[in-house]
Amino acid sequence: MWASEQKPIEDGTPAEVTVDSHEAFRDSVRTFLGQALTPELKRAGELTTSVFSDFEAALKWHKILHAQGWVAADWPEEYGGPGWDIHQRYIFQEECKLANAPSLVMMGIQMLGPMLMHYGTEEQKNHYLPRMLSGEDIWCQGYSEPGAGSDLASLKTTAVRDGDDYVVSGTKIWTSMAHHANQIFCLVRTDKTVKPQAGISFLLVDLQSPGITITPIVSLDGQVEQCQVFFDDVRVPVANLVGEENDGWSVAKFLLEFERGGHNFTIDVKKQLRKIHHQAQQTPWQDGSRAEDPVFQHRLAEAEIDAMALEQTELRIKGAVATGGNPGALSSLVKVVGTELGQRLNELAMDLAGPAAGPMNLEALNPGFDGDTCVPEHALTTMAEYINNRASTIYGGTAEIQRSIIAKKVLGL
Amino acid sequence: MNDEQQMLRDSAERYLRDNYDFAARQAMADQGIGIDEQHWQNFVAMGWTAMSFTEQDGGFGFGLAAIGQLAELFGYHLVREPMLESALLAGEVIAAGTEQAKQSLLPAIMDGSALATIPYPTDTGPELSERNGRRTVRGRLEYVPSGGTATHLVTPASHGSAPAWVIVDLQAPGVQRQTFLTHDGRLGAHVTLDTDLEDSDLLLSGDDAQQMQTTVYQRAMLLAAAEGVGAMQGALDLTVDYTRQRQQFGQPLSAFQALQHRMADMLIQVELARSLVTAACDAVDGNSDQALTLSLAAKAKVDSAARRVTQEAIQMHGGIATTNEYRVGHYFKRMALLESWPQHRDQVIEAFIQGRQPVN
Repeated sequence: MWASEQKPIEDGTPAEVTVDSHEAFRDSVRTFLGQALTPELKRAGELTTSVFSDFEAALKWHKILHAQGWVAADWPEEYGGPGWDIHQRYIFQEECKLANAPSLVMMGIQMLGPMLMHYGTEEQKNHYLPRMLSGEDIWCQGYSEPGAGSDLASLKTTAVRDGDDYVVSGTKIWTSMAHHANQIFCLVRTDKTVKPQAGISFLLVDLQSPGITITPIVSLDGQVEQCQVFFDDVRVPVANLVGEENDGWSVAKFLLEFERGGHNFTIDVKKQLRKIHHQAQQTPWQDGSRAEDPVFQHRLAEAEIDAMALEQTELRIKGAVATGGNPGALSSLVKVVGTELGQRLNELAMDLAGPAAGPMNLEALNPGFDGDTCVPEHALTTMAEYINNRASTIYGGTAEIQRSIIAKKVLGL
Repeated sequence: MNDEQQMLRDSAERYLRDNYDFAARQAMADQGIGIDEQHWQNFVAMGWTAMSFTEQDGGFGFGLAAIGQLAELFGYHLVREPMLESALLAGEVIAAGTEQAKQSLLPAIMDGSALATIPYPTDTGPELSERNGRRTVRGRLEYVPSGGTATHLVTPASHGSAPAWVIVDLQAPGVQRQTFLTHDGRLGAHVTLDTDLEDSDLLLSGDDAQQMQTTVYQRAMLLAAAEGVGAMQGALDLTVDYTRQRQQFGQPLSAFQALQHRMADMLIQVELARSLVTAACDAVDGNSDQALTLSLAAKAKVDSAARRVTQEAIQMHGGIATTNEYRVGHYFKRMALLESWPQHRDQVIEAFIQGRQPVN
């Protein structure tokens, strides 16, 4: 029934995340979280308004998880991961999120780690992977440039070979957490004479190297998560090249699949829905609360139905992956749906908050804050979340890029 | 999908693709003929009219996971014979009825000699009464799907204040039908009943009858949703093929990014709907406590997705899609009518809100 060139989206065996054998695992995760998550760490989780939590809290949580052997949930055992199956990893993520654990800084363990396991030399793996696990190295990602966003292959930061070093010049932008990081992985141009994709290499750079300047960028919510990083003749050892010289594009694409495919949007959306239900119950309406307002109920129900559809689609992907398939273009599909649904939920929260969305409350968003706020607790993060989530359809490949991938790879256009 | 389901799907797909010709379908619909006898006999021969009944009853015992696959193919190929209504909805009620009713009616449903349908849900339905030792059913049912094609009507009824389900022979004296062609190429009817029933025509009464209201209309909802997934996929496939062929401004329409992204959105909607329908079918088969919530979600999702997908299909085709001769508009028409079957989308969402589990 499929037109000849169209590829049906393959289903694997149905992935039931709630089978009995996994319930015991879920219990053990809950028990651990109940003990390990201090009120302060939970507060940092509650006050998270973007993909990043308060940095100090995230680092503390990272070290606690590392001591437990759980910090790299997706890693195989041979590299220091817990060796969990796909359902266990999902359960762990879900329980952490719903228990308000802080979000980990994920560029090292979630993105660079799997890539090094695949492309790295033994020396690179032995050096970098343990330091990622321990939190000794904090990584950031140097992909985008002021002139190279969606058209990443047009990047201009150059690396010129000079003896045993590359000399790197140029600038990277939207480098999340660069102001806290000590390492950066970069795409750099090593050959200007070939077509753009063919002249790119993948380099690991120590941010303490002479010639590097990091400039923070204040986001719309008044906080700093993004930076611009400037490279002024920075010397980087050739040993820090990952993969072959000029093969950086395939390395980067591998990594982007992890950025997109490894994420479970359902978990984020479930947490948002839970917050909105709570917020609706706290928001006065006539003699009761907005939770009883039929117009609001109807809008929320439609979003919940889409959340269920997203969840079932993510389960289909997990079924396919568990039986050896590749999420491929389906990861683009869930990225579009997950982020756009998240934004729709932000709008519902904004409609509930009304004028309470206004005050900036910058101090109150600090987990250590114990003073008075000028808005109800349920509205404290609403505006910041609404603002910060605009980026979700931009980073990791814009919604437009994802739609183009779907058009090309699934529909064959 | 297990092997049996896959085989069923493959053989149905082959048959419909090779034999269910759209032009022939249209020619027959335009003449006001409700079913193509040849196809009908072949559906029977392939076992489709017996697929859901238990082996004891002479069927194959397929669950909704398999039936949903068939419904999806019916949607894709725009099948207008009311096979799903007869064997899977009316048949479900008969199979739950008395042994006497089953023995006298199920063989005819399975061999295709009887073609039964069910009406839209009604609060009370026609009235049952007994007078002078005769049991009579009286009342009016409007817009009965395929009511003009069916030989029998299986309907909820009220017996005093107690609910019941009865089967009525639509050729019996005292049954009047006002038959009309519907926009999806079928024959609907308003049915007025004032006719006598045999003992075996009373299928269910009391709590069983009440329960069947929920069961059969939940099933109807899910079959309509599954059919919708197929129809949406059909509309999308046609649109992709057409935009690749159609040249404007010196290039195929499919080269325009504005259209590519809209087709990507169509695909997203189809796949989201498919995920929910599949999950709901599995949940019903597995008696999951999420079955009703998932079914309601699936139907609501298909309704909104189908509007978008079939409207977009017409828009991206352009003028050709507004003609009755071209296929894609027929997906649009079928889905528009399925939106209110068996309940309107707003009612489905209302039921979803009432039935969902509280969030903590």
